[in-house]
Amino acid sequence: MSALPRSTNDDDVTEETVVGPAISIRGRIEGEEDLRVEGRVEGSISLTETLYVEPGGVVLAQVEARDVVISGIVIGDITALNCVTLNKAAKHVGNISSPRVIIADGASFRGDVIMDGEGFTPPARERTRATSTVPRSTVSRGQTATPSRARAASSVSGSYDARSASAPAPRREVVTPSRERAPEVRRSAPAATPAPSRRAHEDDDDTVVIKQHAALRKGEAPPEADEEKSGRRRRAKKSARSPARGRSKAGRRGNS
Amino acid sequence: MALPTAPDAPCVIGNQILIRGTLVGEEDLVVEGRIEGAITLAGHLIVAEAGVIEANLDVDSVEVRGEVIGDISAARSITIQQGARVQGNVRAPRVIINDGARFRGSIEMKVDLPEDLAKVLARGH
Amino acid sequence: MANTVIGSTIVVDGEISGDEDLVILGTVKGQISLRENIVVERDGVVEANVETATITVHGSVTGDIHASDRAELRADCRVVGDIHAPRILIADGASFKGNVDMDA
Repeated sequence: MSALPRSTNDDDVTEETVVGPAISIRGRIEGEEDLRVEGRVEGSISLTETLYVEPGGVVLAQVEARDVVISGIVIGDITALNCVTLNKAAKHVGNISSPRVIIADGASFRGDVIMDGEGFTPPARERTRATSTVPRSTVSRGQTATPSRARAASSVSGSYDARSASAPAPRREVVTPSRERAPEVRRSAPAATPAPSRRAHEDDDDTVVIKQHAALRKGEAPPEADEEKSGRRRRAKKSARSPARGRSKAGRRGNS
Repeated sequence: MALPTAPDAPCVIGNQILIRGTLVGEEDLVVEGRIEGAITLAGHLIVAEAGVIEANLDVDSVEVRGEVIGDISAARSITIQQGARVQGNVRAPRVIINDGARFRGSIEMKVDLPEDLAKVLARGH
Repeated sequence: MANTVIGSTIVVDGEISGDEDLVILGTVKGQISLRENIVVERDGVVEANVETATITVHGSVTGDIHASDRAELRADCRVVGDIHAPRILIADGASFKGNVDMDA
């Protein structure tokens, strides 16, 4: 795991970002902690840790990660350094490159599997490694003017499309969808696009915590599930308050 | 010599046996030896640990514990066990790959996607 | 279960070779080269040239048989082809057409 000091929530064991069930993200996600997708992500994902696609979660993206555990739906190629697991409800269309691949009974899959390390995409190993060593500004390969300063262990670039997209961009990226749900997730939400840059410029604490209150959303969330989830979110929130200074400067320079 | 005519006498290709050619049948088959060619079997095929098949398989179901080089088409399921090696394109309603199996090729199962995602896919995501 | 068994619904078209006993309940076409024992069961059909140590036929063989040790044609069997073997047994009721050569 990352060696970032933990200024909050010292009791937390796992670092994890959750994309809640009512969240939809378009763009690129990079990170050095686990990412759990219960909502929808379109674009690309690059993690040094584990991507979990939960039941109900949808990922339309090129995925690079150490491990990928799918219980939901993934459309796109997956490159994993260690292992890709398709659980029994998983649906995946795309190619898999990973030394270990596990497909459980009941999973459905269509695509190529390469387990001997010769990737079908550009050298996966190097690319994934790069995310942890190269300044983010370089890594986010000119996707929009992404200011994904490495303030957080995870960074999101690209457009950001929450159900509450009409609300002003949340300053701390703690997205709490408002009660009146915006109409279906829009495929392209230009209005939401500026959000990330604004965050990055104005808020040094920008921490990508995608948060969503199931209870607010529908008022139907079972209390115990809610508890469990909020625990998880708290964990996620912790993230990195202690960014590599150099990185963030570099980023800022790159931006101005 | 006793007649092994028990109706359920399992059909076995022993580990010292090599078959080059086609094998067609309607019963379960255990391959401990080597088959090169093609297998069409309306039954369950087990490729045992020592078994090696270099053939295209058209079977009801297959469990691979040994090695298969060739395409596999199964009416029901394909199971690739730990330690097994499979190289080829496989197609079945159910394909199971256990941890520790080695596989290279394509897998084709029916993937029922929600309508919106199916459209995305059709557009050539 | 050391034997190889070609089950009754199995058809092998090609070449079988190896070093262990073979029991044929189904059909084998092509060529059999074995250094052990072959049993062709009652419903077994062999349309192949056969090389083996011993062969016992209850069913049907069409093709030449070369046995380094022994060939047994049991009652109700049908064999069409030449037989080369140092020891040959043809039971009462066996049907056989071909040449016998015991000088092997």
